Amino acid sequence: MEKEELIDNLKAQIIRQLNLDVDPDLINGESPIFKNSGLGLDSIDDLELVALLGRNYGIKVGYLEDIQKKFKTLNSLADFIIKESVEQT
Amino acid sequence: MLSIYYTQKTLHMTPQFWEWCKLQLPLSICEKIEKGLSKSKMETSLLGYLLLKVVLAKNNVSDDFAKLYYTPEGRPKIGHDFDFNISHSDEYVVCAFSKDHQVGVDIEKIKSISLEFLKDFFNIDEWENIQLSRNSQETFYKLWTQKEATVKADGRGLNIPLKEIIIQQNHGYVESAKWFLQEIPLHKKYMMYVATNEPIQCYRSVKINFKQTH
Repeated sequence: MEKEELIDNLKAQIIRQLNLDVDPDLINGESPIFKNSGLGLDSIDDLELVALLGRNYGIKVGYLEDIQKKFKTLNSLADFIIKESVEQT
Repeated sequence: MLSIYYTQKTLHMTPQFWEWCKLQLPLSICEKIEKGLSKSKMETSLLGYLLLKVVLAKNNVSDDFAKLYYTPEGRPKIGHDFDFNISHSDEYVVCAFSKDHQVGVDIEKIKSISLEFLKDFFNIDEWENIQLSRNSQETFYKLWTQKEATVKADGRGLNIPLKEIIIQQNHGYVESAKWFLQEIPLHKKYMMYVATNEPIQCYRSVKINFKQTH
């Protein structure tokens, strides 16, 4: 899957799974996921994101503190998914 | 004395009320909030600051609002003579305040969550507790809010690996520090816990209404 397509999928999945009232057209790859200036996800949303990665991409996130440090934007989250997918094949 | 102040957001804010709320807060805070993309999260954030301002006024430390700053770990702080902590979930925004304790608070709306991917965030005893309980979702939220309240009171938040926060019999342990946990019943669909550095003898809950008449 191309990265752009992955980002579009992630955008839709995050909005749906976390029930966010966000206009998808306002989100791009560099939109912050956790800061108030972006999607503003909080701690319980982190867990929903972990569940989403596990269910939709077969990726296991072992440390919650990694979520906010590594996945600052949709771009960095997409890069992580692509990297994990390559390592699993 | 520990005080739990809370407000309930029942409707989306009218544009007039939104503008009124903004006038009560410093421009820098309003600009920060308005960079968000989620309307409901922006409203909740705004209410959080507004609630804090009211809490400080009710405790005769209103001038200190201008001294609000954030630690490197992202914890909001003001003075040294009192401590406060804010949490929000869905309709509720809460602020725990005390002149006698260090405090941390977490409130979460209890909704269905996929537990199968969350095992690594709990130790063996906690996970077994969740799996074997009659209501695993409720047990999960109880443990979650206890851990969150503890790390927020500690100040380092999620920089502490969750598995290293031990919850035992209404105490939260972080390294050598012991935090005292108290459930605060607010609504049957929500779970809320407060963590303090010393046992709480009593607390009071105060509802603050912001009427959308502006």
